[in-house]
Amino acid sequence: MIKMSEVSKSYGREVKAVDSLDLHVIPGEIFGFLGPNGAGKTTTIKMLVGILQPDEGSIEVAGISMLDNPIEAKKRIGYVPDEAQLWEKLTGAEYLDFVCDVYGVPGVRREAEAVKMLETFEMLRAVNDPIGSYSRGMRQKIALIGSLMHRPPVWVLDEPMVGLDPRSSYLLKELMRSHVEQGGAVFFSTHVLEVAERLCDRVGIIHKGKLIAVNTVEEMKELFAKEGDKSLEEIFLEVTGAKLPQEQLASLAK
Amino acid sequence: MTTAIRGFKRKGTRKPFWALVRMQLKVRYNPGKLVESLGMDESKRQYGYLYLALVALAFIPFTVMLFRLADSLTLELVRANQPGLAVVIAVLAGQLTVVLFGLSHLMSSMYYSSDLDQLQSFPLKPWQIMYGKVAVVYAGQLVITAFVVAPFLITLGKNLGGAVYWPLALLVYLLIPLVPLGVSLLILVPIMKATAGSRRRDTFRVLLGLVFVVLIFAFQYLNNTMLRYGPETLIARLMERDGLVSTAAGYYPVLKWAAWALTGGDAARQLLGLALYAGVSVGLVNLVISLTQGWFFSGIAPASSGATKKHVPRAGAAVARPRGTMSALILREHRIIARTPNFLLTVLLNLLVLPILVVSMYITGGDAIPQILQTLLGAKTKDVVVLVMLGIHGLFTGMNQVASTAVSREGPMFWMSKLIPVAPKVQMRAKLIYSLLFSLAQLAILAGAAIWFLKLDFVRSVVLIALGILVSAPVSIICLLNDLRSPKVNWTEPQQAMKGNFQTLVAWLFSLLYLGILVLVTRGFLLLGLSIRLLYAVLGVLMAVSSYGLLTWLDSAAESVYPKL
Repeated sequence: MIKMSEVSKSYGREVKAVDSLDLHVIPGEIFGFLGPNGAGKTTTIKMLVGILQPDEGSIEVAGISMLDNPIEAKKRIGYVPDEAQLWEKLTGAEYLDFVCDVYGVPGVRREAEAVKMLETFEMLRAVNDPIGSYSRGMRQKIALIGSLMHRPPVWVLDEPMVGLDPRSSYLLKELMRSHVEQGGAVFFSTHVLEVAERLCDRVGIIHKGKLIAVNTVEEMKELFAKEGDKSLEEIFLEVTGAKLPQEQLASLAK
Repeated sequence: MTTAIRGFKRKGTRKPFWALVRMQLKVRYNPGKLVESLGMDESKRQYGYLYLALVALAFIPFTVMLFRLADSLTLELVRANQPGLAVVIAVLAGQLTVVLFGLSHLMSSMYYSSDLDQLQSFPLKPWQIMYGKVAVVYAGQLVITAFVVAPFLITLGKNLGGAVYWPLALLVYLLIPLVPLGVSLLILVPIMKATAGSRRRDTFRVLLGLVFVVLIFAFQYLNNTMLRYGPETLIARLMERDGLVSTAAGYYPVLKWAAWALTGGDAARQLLGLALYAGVSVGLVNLVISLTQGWFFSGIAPASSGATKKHVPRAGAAVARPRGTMSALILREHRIIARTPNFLLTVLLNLLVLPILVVSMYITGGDAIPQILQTLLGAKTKDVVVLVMLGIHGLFTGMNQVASTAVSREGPMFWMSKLIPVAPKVQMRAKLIYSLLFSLAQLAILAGAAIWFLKLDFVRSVVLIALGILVSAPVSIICLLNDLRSPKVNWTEPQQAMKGNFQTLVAWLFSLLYLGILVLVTRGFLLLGLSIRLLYAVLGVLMAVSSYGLLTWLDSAAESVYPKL
């Protein structure tokens, strides 16, 4: 479903945000994309959804090249950015209507589809209000609903749980699972490692622009199990070199 | 119970491009946004509409006057066999309006818009996004230019007659914004490219400001040096039909072609004019969009994300040197200004406003500066110079925006000032000291100019500097008090804190009031023929006492206002 080969992206001469990244996500899979702040997660996602052009490498979504045929590739993606910048002066309904227009969702289908999703995420009553009046969680929900209106096979979600209430967060996880069971694919980034551990079929860890580990959570645990049973968080801290020695922690906490 | 979803298309689909244009028009020109631009929030929307209605009513007399003026002018031009000149005036006025407003609209629609990332993630082609953005700006410009163009084109049609004129005039009007929008894009996009990345938006604005300054000087220079014809040439041109059109169009033939399209005389000339005018206008915009499309989309790439920098500065160096609270606060004031290009440019322009004025007046011609210099040099006593310079310094201190935006500049970081364990009055005093330092720099330039150009003697120079320092204090405190009263801390772009801060004008008016009292005192002394030394002493005492009183007020205001902000 998603195939990124040898993808690199630099900002200026000094900053290499993504370095020769190889990544495959197969149908029926939830792929968790992890990494510390500034590791290159958002840049990777922006290249995947066609916002940024890679300097090198190729990207395919559902078998279509993002570089050669971006319009068709984008039609197969449902994308929710990490901070959904929505048009505050539009109402939720107007936003969804616009999204349906650009993705070519037929008029006869869109209302039924919208009502179903809006009811699921308890947004139906707010849909005629301006987005400017929404809370962060409501914005996240409307962005999420908008991204799924055209029923894309590939979901790309950048920190999708941030701002969502526990119910919506749970629902989203259920939807993700249901989507992959029907043959779709989900690529999502998160800092909540417990979520990744419980939800993902595979996880990839990016650090300083390089994909340093890709595996199923179980295999990763086996790989790092020399010193006993480890959580994904401990593995993450170990591979990204983020774990501080005990003495240093003690001196900082003084 | 099911809530009806309003505004949903229920049959068929819209073309993505038109859906984009429709959505952007809604976002840009919705009534709520207009009300918001007046500084009112959603809850006061009805007042905003009322305000807009009143503004529209207020424009009626002006519009009527403009129509009458245009009617007389076009009638005379038709009688003088120069109807094309009315078209030249209309198109030129319209296009200058677009240059004036269109550039900022393009900036906000393209560079400052926060939706570009999202639009790029949609299945839209880059040209669709760019044309969509330009189309929305174009629509707005059509409305704005209608105010200046319509009076001329409508009255010309009335005075010329002919049914063919009206559709052609509509076409000419519709094409007016294209050339200036094309040129504006050509200026904007390279600057966007050069300042790519959200962290350098402020640099972008500064560069654009400099481009504007250069354009204004160039325009003034050309205005003074070109298009100077002797009366013989003008009379000769006046004798031919539309002879003045070529003269007025000068090096910009688009105006001439637009005139031909409407008043060319014969059909062939009209058709040729229309073809050239439309061809150049539409062609230029298309050419510029296709040329700059790639730059535009690479220019807006967020260079700040995912940074893995090779060079890591030594973190300890910046915090190794301990400072006192007051010096730390003053240093913070300085850093906020020095590290924000927009603030820095505003402050530098304020500092150099006098030299810039003098230089620009020399560049663009005119004899105002030599006349002022002669008057001051020829004054009976140099005390006049001291008083004039003192007045100018007071005015400039009130205008300089350092004090009048001191709280506003903190913007979204103001919470930090409430958090730190430093009394608000101490924080305000730090701002006052920094403002005074800046005012002193202004005074140094002014006093230097007085000594150098106006041959001010030593004693009077000392008096000027001493009284200059004294006048800086109350004026700065007044400006600080005003900013403290209603600071603009909820800005999203730095320019809203300084250049776009209406309160700086209010602060200046308050400081003018204070200076007015000093002027009245001075006037009284001069009328009574009292000693000038006594005047200096009285002014000094007045300023010192009022400074003390105002400072006490500032202290107590800071303590009571800070917790509420």
